[in-house]
Amino acid sequence: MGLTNIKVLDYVNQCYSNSDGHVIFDLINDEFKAGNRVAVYFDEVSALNSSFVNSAFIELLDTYDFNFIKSHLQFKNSTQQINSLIKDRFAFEVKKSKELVTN
Amino acid sequence: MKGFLPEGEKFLHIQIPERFTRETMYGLLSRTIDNDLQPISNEIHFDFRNLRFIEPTGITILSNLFEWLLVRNVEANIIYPEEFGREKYCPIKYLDDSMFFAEYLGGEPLSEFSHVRPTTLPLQKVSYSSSFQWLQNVFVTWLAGRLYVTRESVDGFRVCLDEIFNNINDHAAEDTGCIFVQQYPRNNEIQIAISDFGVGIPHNVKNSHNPFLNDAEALYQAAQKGFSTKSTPKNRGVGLDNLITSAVLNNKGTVHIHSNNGILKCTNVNNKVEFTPKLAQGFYPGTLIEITLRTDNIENITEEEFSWD
Repeated sequence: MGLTNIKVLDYVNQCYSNSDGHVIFDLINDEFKAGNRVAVYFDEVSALNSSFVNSAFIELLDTYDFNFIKSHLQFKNSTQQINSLIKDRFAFEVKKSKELVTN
Repeated sequence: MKGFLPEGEKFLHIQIPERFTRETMYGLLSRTIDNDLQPISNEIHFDFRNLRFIEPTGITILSNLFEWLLVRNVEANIIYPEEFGREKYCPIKYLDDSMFFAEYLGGEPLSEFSHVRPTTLPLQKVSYSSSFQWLQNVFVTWLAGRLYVTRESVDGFRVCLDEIFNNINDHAAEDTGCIFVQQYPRNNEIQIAISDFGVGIPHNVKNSHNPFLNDAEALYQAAQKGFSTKSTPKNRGVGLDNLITSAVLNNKGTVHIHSNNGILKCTNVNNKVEFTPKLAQGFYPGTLIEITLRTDNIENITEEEFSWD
């Protein structure tokens, strides 16, 4: 199992829209399917919005469970705002899906 | 549009109230838009001669209303005083300096002495497709310059607007927002007023979830984390929540949302967001968001090692 580095601004001009996020999602998804781990680099990106985070990362939950994502996906050269939003979004979506299962 | 004095009764003549704010706008709106949400007349003359005070958000409201009328082929004319003061507290001067009259009277401000104030980011109509460039090249550049901080330091403010533009793109029939920004250096605040002229948040919430909610309840619902009208498959209902978290919880600012017949006030009380929904005195076509942010609460953007724990 290899580790693939993805520097986001090598693939999108900005981290702004759902479409931008989807480009990153596809790259990660391809690596996961090939059995690789992924490190996403946020060089020159200091803050993200929820549309980008949802499309790039949260949609992975539709295919992979959270433990798999945690062990296969890491983030580098990020900021407190980026880290906090990503973790908060995952925590909320995981909790919501658990509530759907138990109710 | 062309400004001129009324001569007959073939048109609707509407006085702009002496104090024009987001609280007093409803009288003006109800005299302009009928109960079927149609313009009351095909020709309306807006009379600014009694105006004594206008808040920054009022400029966005007027712009939004004029845009709403324009797409409905209404001839909206402006009546302005022949003379007005040059002092900065004169509301006509403020509108002129903000390029309101230049926008709606054919390109030039009323007075040759009018100019954009350094504390103002003048009225802009920004489409979604140009919003990222506008935010980076205009908003962030202006704000960082005004506050003497790095561009990265104001990224939290920029993310608030990212969320609004992505919301406009997801929900509004028109993907353009009217935006106006005013800095209050003495109060360490900036106020951002942005409006679209779409169908409004309560309309979408009631259509997709519960038609029996009133508009204030619908606005409150829309602001709750995870609540989504699913207007697009990508929509997860966190844009408004992230805006409110960034502005109210993190920055200790305030957010007011006016949409259709609802108003939602979001304030920071003991480090929690307090939501105050109420029914409006009238109808707002689209969604108006006023964000007041503290400029003395800017957190330095610092790199941080990511950990899932």
